[in-house]
Amino acid sequence: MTKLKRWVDDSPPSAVLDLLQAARTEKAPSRVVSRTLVAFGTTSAASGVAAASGGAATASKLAPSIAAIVIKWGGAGLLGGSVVVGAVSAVNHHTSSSGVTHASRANLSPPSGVAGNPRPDLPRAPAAAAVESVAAPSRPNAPPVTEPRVKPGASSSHHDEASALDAESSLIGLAHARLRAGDGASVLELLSGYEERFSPPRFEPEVLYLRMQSAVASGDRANARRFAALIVKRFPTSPGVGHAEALLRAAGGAQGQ
Amino acid sequence: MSTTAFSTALTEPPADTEEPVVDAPELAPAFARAHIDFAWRVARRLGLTPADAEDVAQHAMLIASQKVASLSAGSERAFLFRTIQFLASKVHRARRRHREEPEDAAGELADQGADPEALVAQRRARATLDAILSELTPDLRGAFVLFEIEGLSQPEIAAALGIPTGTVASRLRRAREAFTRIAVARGVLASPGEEPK
Repeated sequence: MTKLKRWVDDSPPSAVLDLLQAARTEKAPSRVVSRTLVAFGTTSAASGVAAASGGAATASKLAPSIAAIVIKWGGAGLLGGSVVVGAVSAVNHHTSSSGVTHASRANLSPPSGVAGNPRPDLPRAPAAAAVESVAAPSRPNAPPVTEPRVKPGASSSHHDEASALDAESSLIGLAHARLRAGDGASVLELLSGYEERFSPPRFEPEVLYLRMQSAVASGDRANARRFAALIVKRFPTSPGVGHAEALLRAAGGAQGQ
Repeated sequence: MSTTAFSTALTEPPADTEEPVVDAPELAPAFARAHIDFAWRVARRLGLTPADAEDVAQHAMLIASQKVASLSAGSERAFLFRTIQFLASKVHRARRRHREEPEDAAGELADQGADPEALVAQRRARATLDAILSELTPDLRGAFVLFEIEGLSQPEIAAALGIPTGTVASRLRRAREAFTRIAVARGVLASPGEEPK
């Protein structure tokens, strides 16, 4: 069998070469990188640096507030599955006055036999140290949770963006923490004005999901259905759509009874 | 609707759903940085709109992150490809009609510091490429994308697609022939014997 050469190395027509090169050099938009890295527990994405070599250094520079939002996916898939969105937000301000640890039902502990054998080919991210394995607090003893603020004094646009992403991701983590602490009713208020406060908003699907959960927690069925319908309509491939559809189905079934 | 049913709809995972566990959270960010571009490109080349590609790429990365420690080195992209292909097929089925969405040109400019004319040319080239790829069969398309664009080796593609290496070579040859035929039909390439445009 003769070894097949890649087309770009095999003197393709120039038009084909242009098409292939355009595709080979495409990078994920910074928005996608940010969203994914935030979901993985690092805000280093705020710099727009996606390269593995630069990420660690960037993360350490941006370390003042590390929000880890771990999205747990369940169900059969993107569209039909049921979804649980859990959040771990380890907000670790330089100034210790407002340190908050948010709990999560997410199990982030490596299974036995894995922790001691990390893959040597992947560098460890400093931000990972902030992703802790924590147990959900019992509701009566839930810690007070305070609203994150954009740190003052950031002068460059780089730091502005980093601070804004920190604040935005911390807000999402805080909302999750309040829901988990049994204070879902306050989440709607917490998230009011989110779209105006963060422009462009990076976590719109998550915020709609949180609003839906908050409405459920408050027994506000009309608003829960409204938010569920918005999720299905505006973000039909988002992680929360499975729950939104389940809620709408349940609501429809109940109305039919 | 009872309160129980109302709440259960949101909180209870399906009975057959295992609790996902991030098996090595300290590795996940590095994994994400290393592979997000790949995930994005594959999602786009499989015909997803930018918005769907964003969701699918992130979803696939999160799924992969649950297995990052157990994936053998070198098999990550194969795993990601299979995941993205699966998710993309669900999205395609869910979309009753294809809706083109404007790409984030401003974001791209900011990302790349690119010359606007070059950026427009690149976007046009990718759109043309995607149009051609959309006419390939899924089998040929997957092999073509992995080999010609993502640079995977034939054994890697064989592992990703679950087929023998010889079949990969066969698909790649047929994919290139089909690609050329479609490109000629679309006027991207000149017909044999014609002067190139």
